[in-house]
Amino acid sequence: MQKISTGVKGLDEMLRGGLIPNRPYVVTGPPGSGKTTLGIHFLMEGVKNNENVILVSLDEPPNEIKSNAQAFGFDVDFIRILDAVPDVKGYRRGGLIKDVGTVLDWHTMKDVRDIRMSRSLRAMDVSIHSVQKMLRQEADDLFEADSEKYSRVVIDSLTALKMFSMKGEDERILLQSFIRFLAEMEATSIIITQVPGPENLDTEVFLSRGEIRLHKLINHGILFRGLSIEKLRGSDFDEHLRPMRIASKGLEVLSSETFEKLKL
Amino acid sequence: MKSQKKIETGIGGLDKMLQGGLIPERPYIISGPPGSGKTTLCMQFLLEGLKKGERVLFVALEEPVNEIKFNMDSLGLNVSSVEILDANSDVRRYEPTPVMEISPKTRVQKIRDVSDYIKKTPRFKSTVVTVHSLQTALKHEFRNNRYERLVIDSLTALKYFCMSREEDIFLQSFIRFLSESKITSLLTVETPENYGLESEMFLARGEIRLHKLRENWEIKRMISIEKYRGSEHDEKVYPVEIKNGEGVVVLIDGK
Repeated sequence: MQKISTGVKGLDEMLRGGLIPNRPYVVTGPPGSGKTTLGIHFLMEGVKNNENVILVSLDEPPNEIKSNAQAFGFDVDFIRILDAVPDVKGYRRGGLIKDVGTVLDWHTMKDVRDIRMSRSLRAMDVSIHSVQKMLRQEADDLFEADSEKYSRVVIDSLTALKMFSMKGEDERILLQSFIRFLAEMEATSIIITQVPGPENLDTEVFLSRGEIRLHKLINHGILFRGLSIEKLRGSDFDEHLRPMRIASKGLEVLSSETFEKLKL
Repeated sequence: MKSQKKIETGIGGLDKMLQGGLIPERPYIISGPPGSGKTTLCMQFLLEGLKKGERVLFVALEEPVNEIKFNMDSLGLNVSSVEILDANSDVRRYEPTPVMEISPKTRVQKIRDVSDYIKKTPRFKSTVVTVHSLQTALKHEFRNNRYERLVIDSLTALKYFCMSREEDIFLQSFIRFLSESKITSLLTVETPENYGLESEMFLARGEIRLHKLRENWEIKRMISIEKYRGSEHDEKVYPVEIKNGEGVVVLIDGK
C-alpha cells in the first residue's frame, strides 16, 4: 500500500514514507506545541493533490484558523470546514443557565470571514453524535454530487468535544464508535487531543493506529520543540524524539538531528 | 515444586524466562502500553501452536481485521492460517433501529480470507458485541472445534466497550469460562504509561508485562514476568526488540 505524505518536512522520513492511508491517527501535545498547524499541513498536502479534505473545528473559530494559516503562507481556501466551536453560554431569564451549544455549519474556507455571531435560537449541542452525523451527511452529499470521497479529515480537537459533551462510561463507547466511523469513511484522519496523562488510558489514543506527539521542553530558560512517534501500527518508524521548529513556512522536523547534539 | 508439562510461547527468550513456557489450559495476561508489542507477541504464540498442528483462534476487539492482516504482513509474519473472529462492534446508530448482537453466526475465518477492505456498517442494522454475546459465540465455536490456543485482543476493549461498569462480574465469569474450556489463552491489557493494578490481573494465572519507555530520547522496550502461578520464573527485566520477520525478540545476555 502506498503511504501518504503528512506535508510536514522531516516527519515523513520519521514515518518511513508517511502514513498508511484510511486509518485514524492522533496528534497529541501541550497547548501551543503546533498541533493545529500540523493538521493544516496535512490537509494542505491533500489539497495539493486535488483531494477533498475536511477540518472539523471545535477549538478555534475558523476565521482565526484561517488567518493563522495564512501567516504561514497557506492558501486554505479549498479546505471544507465544519464549524462546531461552541457559542457563548446563553442565560435564560430567571437566572437559569441554558447550555447553548452551537449551530453546526459547513463552509468552504474561502467563505470564512468574520467570527460567526452566536445565535441562541438555532443552538444545539455539539456532541460526538452530531459531529458524526454531519460528517456522514457531508460525505454522502459529495459522493452523490461528484462520486468522490473525502480522503483527509482533521478533528481539532477532541479535548473540546470530550469536555462539552461526554461524561462517564458512555464516553468510551461513543469514542470507539466514532473512531470506527472514521475508519469506515476510508479517510486518513488526524484527531488532535491532549497528551495522555501518565495515569490515564485515553480511548482515542489506544484505539488510534498511531500517535504523533509534540513536545515543548524548557532548558535554561530556552524553549525547545520536539516531535516523537509513540506508536505506529503496520510500519517501522524512527523511535527518536527529534527537534522541531516552527519556521516561517510552518513546522519543520529536524529528522537527522538529535537532542544529544544540542546538549540538552 | 513438581514440574509440570509446559507449552512454548514461540518466543525463545520468553520461554527461557518462563522456565520452559506456559502451563497449558490457563488464561494469562499480556499487559503493556500502546505500541509495546502485545498483539505481535500474541500472534507469535498462535503461530507456535500452528507449527505444532494445533488449532488457534484470534479474537479481534480493538482493530479492524483487515488492518491486522496488513500489519502482520508488513512485519513479515505469515499469519494467513491463523483463524480470526471479528468481534468489533459496528458504528453505533443513535436513531432507534434494530440492533443485532454478535451471534454464533458470526463466522470464524482464516486470516488469508479476510478482505483487504474494512467491513462497513450496514445502513439499517448495527451489530454490537457484548461480553455475553462473545462468550456465547465462543462457546458455540468450542463445541464444534477443539482449539488449543486463544488470544483475546484486547481484554481492555471488552471491558471498556462491551459491558457497562456494573458488569464487572461478567468479566470474571468470562475468564472462568476460558479456564473451563481448557484452552491456553492470552488476554491483552492496555496500560497507561504508569499504572496501577486492574482487577482482571488478579484473575489470570500469570502476567507478562511489556514495557516501553523513553531513554536518552529513544524508545526502549522491555519484558518482565510479573506473576506466574505454579511455576518458578525469571524475575529480571530483559530488553526486547521488534524485528521484521521475527516479531518480538527477547534479548537475554545480549542475544
